[in-house]
Amino acid sequence: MSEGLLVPSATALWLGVLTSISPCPLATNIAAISFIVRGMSSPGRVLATGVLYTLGRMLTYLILGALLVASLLSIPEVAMFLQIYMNKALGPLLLVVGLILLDVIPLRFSTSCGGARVQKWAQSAGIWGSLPLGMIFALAFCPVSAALFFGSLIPLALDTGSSVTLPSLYGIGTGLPVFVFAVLIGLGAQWVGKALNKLAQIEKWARRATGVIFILVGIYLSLVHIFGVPV
Amino acid sequence: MKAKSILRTLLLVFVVVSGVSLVIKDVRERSQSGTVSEGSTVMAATAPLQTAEGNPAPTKKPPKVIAYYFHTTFRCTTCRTIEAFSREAIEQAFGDALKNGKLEWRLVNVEERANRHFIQDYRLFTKSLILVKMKDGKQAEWKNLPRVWELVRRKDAFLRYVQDEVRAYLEAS
Repeated sequence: MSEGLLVPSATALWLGVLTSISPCPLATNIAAISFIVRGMSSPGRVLATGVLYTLGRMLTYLILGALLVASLLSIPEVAMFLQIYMNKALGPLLLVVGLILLDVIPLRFSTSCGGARVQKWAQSAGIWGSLPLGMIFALAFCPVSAALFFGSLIPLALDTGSSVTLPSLYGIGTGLPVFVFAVLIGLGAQWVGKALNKLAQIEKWARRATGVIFILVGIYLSLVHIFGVPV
Repeated sequence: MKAKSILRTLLLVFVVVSGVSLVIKDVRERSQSGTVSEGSTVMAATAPLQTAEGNPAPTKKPPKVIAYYFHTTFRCTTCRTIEAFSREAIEQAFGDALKNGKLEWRLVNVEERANRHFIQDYRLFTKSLILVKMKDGKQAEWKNLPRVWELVRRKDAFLRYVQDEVRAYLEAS
């Protein structure tokens, strides 16, 4: 990396961290942390889920940043469209995902044709599912994240002509606090579980808690963004 | 088992009601987009006034400044603080200008279809405080005050920033 890009890169990363620790994406951050923590029986699984979640966020900002810097999209239109519609769509979506995680809505796979492979895929989807989760959560802009991304990061990317590096670093920055927090909780819970010899039980409850958290966050987002309930 | 199925039904009904209400609200807003809202005032003011004969009327309106706070239907805590501080800054320092019409404070919801044009007009990407200078009934210039986001946790600096910017616009008009 050239010296000229060092300061903008650090700024982009910091803007991402600032976005993540601001209060407005708290609900989606809690949902993301619970999703990453649920595979706590294997530290590798927690790490992989966290990395893929961060990668998902990075991909969204990379694509969005590149399109905006290349002037293929209008900043005001995209910014306001995402703020108005994404948060509204996210509520019902999280509710459905929560119901699937709790097996209230069962996903049934045919066992006659490649059943074992499908089952294996479904099991691993827990890890890979964090990639689209990160991508979708990154699109749910709130006023603070919109101000930082569209008002600070994109002008910085335009100034430096960096349509890939800076949006990517911003994406990593937005995922970093969630990743670190989730890994610490996951490893801590694993340590407690091992010490009490109840790891399997704790993990079972963590998985259920993830479903419940997704449903609660879904209800919260629907009430606030669709039904206009004041917070 | 029964409780689980009741809960499942309730949650699924909630999902369906949320989806349907989302669509209904959108359709209703589209059908109401032709109605005049508070936001259409700038459009009206920018267009030259016409006499009955169709000739432009002599526009001798006194200059004024409009301070717009643009928001969406969802009002986050920080956004409410920015709105309250902006209003306080203006009312505290420019009470006379507000009374004699040299300064106006307007709240506009850009989520309402009739106000969507403001998004492009003022290049809005989040909740924003915009100052508009009107001369002879026309929009002469406008300015975004982006530092409201940076100063929202330092009330004194926030009030000073907004008051300085409004004062500069009023003095130049």
